[in-house]
Amino acid sequence: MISMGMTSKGQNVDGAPAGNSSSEWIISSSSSPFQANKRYSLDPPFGSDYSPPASPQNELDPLSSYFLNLQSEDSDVRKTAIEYIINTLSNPDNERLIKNHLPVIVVLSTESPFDDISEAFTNFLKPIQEKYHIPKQRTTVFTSESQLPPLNTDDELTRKLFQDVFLQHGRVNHLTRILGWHPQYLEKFLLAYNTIMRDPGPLPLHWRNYIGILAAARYKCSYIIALQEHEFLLNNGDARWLQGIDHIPAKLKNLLKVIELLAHQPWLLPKLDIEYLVKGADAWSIAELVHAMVLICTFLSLSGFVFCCGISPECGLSESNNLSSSFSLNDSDCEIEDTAATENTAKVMELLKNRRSQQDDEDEDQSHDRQQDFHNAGDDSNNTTTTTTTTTTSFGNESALSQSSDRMSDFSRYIGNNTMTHTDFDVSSKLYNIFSAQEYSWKEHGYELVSRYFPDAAPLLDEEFSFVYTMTYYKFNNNTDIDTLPFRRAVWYYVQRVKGMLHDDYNYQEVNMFLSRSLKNFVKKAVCFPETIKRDDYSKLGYSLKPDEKCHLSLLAVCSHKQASLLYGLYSVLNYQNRR
Amino acid sequence: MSQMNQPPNKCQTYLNLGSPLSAISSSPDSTKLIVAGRDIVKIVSVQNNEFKVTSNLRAGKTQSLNYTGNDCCWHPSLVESYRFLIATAATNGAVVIWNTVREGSKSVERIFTDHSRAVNKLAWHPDKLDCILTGSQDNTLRMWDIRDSANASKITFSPKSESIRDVQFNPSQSNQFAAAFDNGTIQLWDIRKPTIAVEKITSHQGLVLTIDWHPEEKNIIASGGRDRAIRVWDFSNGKSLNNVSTISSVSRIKWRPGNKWHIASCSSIVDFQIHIWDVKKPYIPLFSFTDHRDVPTGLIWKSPSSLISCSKDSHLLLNDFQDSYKPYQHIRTSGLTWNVNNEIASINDKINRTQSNESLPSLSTQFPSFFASFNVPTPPPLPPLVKVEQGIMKIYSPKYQNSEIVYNERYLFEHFASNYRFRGQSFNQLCDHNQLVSQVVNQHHISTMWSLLKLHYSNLDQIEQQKEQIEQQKQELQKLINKKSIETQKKQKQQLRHHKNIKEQQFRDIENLEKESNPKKIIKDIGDDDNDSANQEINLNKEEDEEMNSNFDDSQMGDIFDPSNDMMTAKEPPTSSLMEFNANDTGNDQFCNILSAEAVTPLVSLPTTLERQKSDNILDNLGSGVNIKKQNQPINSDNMDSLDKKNNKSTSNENKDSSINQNQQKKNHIKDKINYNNKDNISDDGDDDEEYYNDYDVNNNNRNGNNKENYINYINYNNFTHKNINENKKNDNYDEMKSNDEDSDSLKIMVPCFEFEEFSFQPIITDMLEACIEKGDVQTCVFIVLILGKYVDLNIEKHRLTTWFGSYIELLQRYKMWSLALEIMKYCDDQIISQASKRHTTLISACSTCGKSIPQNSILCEKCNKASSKCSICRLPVKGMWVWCQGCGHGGHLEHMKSWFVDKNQKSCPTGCAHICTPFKK
Repeated sequence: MISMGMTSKGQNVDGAPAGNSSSEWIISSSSSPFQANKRYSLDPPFGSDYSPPASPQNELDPLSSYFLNLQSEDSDVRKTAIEYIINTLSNPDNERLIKNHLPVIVVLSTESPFDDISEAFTNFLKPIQEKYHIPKQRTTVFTSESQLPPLNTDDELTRKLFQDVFLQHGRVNHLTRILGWHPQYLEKFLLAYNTIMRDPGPLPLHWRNYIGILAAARYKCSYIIALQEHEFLLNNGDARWLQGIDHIPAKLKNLLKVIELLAHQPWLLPKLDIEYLVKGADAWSIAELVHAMVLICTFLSLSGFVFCCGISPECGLSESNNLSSSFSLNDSDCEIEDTAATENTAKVMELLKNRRSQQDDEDEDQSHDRQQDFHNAGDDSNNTTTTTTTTTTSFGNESALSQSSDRMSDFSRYIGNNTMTHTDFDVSSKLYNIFSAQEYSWKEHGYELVSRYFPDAAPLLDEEFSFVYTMTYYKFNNNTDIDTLPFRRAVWYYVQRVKGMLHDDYNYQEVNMFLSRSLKNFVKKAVCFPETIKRDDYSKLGYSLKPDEKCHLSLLAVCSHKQASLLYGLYSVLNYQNRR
Repeated sequence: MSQMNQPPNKCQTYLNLGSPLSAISSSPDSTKLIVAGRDIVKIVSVQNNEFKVTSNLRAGKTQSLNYTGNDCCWHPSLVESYRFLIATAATNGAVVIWNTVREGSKSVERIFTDHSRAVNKLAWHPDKLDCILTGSQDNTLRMWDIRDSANASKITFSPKSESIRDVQFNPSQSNQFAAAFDNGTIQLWDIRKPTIAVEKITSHQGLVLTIDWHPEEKNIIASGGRDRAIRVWDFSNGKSLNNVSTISSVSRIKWRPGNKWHIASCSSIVDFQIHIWDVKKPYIPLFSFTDHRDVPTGLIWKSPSSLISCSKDSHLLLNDFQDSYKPYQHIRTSGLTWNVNNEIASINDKINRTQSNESLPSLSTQFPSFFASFNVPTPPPLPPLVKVEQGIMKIYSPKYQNSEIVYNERYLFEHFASNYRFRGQSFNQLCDHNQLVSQVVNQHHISTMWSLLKLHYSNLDQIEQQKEQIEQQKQELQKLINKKSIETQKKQKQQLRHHKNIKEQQFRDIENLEKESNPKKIIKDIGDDDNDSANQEINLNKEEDEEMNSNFDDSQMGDIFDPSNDMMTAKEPPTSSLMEFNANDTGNDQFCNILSAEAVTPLVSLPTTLERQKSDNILDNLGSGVNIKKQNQPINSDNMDSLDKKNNKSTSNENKDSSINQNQQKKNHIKDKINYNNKDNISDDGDDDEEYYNDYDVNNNNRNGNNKENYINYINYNNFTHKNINENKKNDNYDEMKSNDEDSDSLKIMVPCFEFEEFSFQPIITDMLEACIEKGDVQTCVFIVLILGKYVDLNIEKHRLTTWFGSYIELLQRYKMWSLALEIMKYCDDQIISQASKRHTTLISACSTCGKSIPQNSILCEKCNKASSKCSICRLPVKGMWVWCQGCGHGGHLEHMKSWFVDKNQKSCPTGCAHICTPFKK
């Protein structure tokens, strides 16, 4: 085990005697400068299984301290550790050790930003690859490995972030790796994520993980669930909770309804009387509730992103290696030629370039009914073809059904009886109102509420939102020097439209102008039922976009989603407060 | 948004417009208002303090977003053709100019749609009547000419910053305007220079939501932001003049006319009140209007005493100063102070500053408190002890509630003299110990001095550690000398045993030694060999005895060494001594833990009820010894078992006696103490008692080694005794006076201690000592000098120090605390003092039968040729410790006397001389 913290804690959870590991612990703590970080490690790698937490090695492991040394900034320390490990493992007597450490070694060979580590272990694995049936590691099933930002990238910031993450957690997980396409965002993301997950805040650490699990379970995102389950145990969470929501405290159970609504029909949340949450014996304090809202929205959006980018399970973390069944692993067909793409791209390019004249035209037909525009923007069909919204919905349900085999049923333990699913937001519904972003905006109101109860998180979230909204490389596929703002804005507002949020000062005609039907479809899936995203959806976006641009697109969508759901959550908290 | 349709409770003038409002603006003649909201643009007339809707500008309009009112602004000019113009800004970016003279659909004069996002603020140009300025979410400011219908946008200011939240023309310079930005800046622009801002002030963290130029003062502008602050700036130099912290983000501010530094503010979230602040007194609003049920969105001063406001709750209100809530009048005056005695005094009063007491409704009908509506959790009910009463000053003493015990001076002096430590422990430990010693007798000012000392010089322990190393080496050397010294000691004792004075002194010495020696440290030095260590322990004690009593130098020891006299053995079995020692060590540790928790409290934390309970507990522990006793129980019982076994095996009479005695001490600890107390009650300071104490202590010493637990109990039953005694003669007045004095003294010293990192505390300490001396407390000074003098130059003239030491030693001698005096002499750095012990220490003893003086080194009287000091019980000559009755002169072995008087409970002399030696014993 690389992570000593994990070993000893895992044993404690199991109730197994920790005699051996305690002596190990002493050794490793004296030799590791990073021991202090272990407590916080996001995904200290390589628990062979995550649920129930099997204590991976009970016997004393001579290598663990050396594996820990690999997480050292000092290249000499790393070098010594590598040599020792390789020498030990090369010894034919130590085959058992190889078996024990195989996931670790695989991760080190594929997920380390330090050349010395990855090279050494890749070379080590080569001869034994066949023998142990080591599966080929993939970061994402949607794009080929070669298109990803290399771990030892030349980009200063990316490399630094990768290295930081590796030094802290012992691996650069797939999510981080994908985000390496957009290092400036990654930086802000890590900052915000670490703050809401690890910094002192209203909720205890393992609660935060568990809320993460509950939120991700709504979208059946096994990747996030696995990560969070793992960290939950590291934070001394009660292993029984992982058996499902029957084992969690009533207080946490009360939150299930909120999570469900936020995930599927957030517009119903303001109608929900949250008094039951904040009164009584298992009451949430307002601060805790605000923190929980932030967590729920973060993990809902993260789950969406995981599906958008087809991120594959972490080696050694997720049990479901058969995930590949739902995705083709064939590298070559990652990029399916999208027939409509070229045409659409050209159309959008035209629009982006001629934006000015376009706007002038608009001014003339101001008489447009905005309500209608708003409604149309949410339509999955373009104005011309009137396919009913039900098509998509049924399609979504259908695909959900198709996948609801064994893999999906795993997460029913975190969902329980709350079986709400997505239905489209009905603009003219009498049951709920359109949420006016002018009445309750993130910058003016949401920010204030978060900063009131969780002061550190508010500016970081704010920065994350505004950065994603403004992030651009002035490129569209191979066209450079293009202001893609209208396109990006269309995605952003379309997502919030899907979530029932109206901005007075956005022209919703732009949505249908800029976004093709398939792209809208993809974006909608990303924020409403991300588990149904298939590689087809990914490759047939309707535009010829590069993988990193698609990642950018996904980020826009999920961050917009995050903001929208956060606004719903905070609004209901504020509403409750005002009522008193 | 919650819409409350019931009328506000206090405000007389109000109007419910049925839809959330977001802005108001007043016509130049103040007779009409334009009210705008998401679904509403209406004109309201204000006459005779009554609102009346005169027209609805949106009547017959489509639901177009163009006609939503994010902001509105009535043309400020009185010129005929302009005075009916109104501008509204919409959330979709449209700017609409209305002409109120016309009716219906004709009322819309112009619609400008150049802004691509919501327009947040409008401002008519004060001089150029056709110009209007807008600030928008799309990061631009535009200047429009309303005459041009096709191409009205004349100037576009693109500050390349973020969204604009507010714009306002400078009232003193019409070409300038200020704008508030999302990035936290306020920028000053000149309309003639649309490319770049004239001035830029970063005024807030996050959004600046509102600005307002001061109506009279030039270049002064106030701003309010999401960071919950209102700040006043001078644009001429970019300086911040005032800062008001509010409880929620500030969405609107408006200077109050007629009161130069008053400003009204309202918030965009959570807080529904409108506050009027004096920016010079930023801590509490002057008054607040509390009638809105949702956040206020627009403020207009109608007159200096009335304010028109609109709110998301759909209401338009005319707030009158009369109806306002004046926090200043309702906030309780609370004073809290804390003195060196660890007492908290609080005054909690509701003072009505207005003279008319009757006119105000009672608090319960008023708003309960200023912060009630802000979701600030109400403080938990105060514990019953701190019951709040109006207008009453309360003093809460953390420990002794109301029954502060008053000790007389003499007792205090003796208590301190015998319990203070100045060596043998680390600096911090010494301070802690001495602090406790003073706390036990309620001398809080002194205990504070000790804790201060510790606080200031806590780093001395590092130096101490280095010293300790050296000391360890020294002790190894001492081991070598030990053998010699024990023998010397014995010889000495033989020589001196007949003299009563000497004996008394010796007892004192041993008692003293017991108190000062640190078991922990010694045990470190003790080797593996039990016998060795036990011996060493005893030897160490004896060596000190020797040093104090002897006028021989080390070099002389060899000369007087006489093997023939070496007939005494160690006074108790070494193993049991060690065991006892260990047990006590443990007890000591536990006690120390409690102690250390307590020791830091006076400076660090407020003594809450909890604290008080804790201290009470400690006090309880001290008082009864029961708790500590319980903690030690297993160890003790082990001990007793083993001791019992030992007793059975023991052949020595003396040992048996002592062990039984010891057991009794253990088992009947409390009972014993009660006995002592009783005795003490009868005679306060009789020599007999003192001797008795000595007796008891020596016993302890011999049997138990350094029995710290006993020691503490000992201190304690002293206290108890004196409590009993003094309860009758308590003198409250005197005590109060005294403590007042102490307060002022120590407070002076306390103030600066946290302010600087690098700070010489020496002057403070010197001041402290001077203050102490002034009060006549030479004792504490001497101990502080003894402890601190080694490390710190206290900058006190040497002759003064000498005087202090001299007087203290003299005092000790007056109180017959000889050994303590000697100890001070020995460890005093001052040559004059330390050599004092070398003078006049030849002690002359005389034969009790014939009166002839007995030379030193001899136990036989030359004339009578017999040992004069025979034990009255066993008839054997007493070597070593001898106790005698000062009434009849008879005495004997300490143990025998003790068993006679204590165990057999006799009162009269064992010789049968019929003298009642212990007349007060029951």
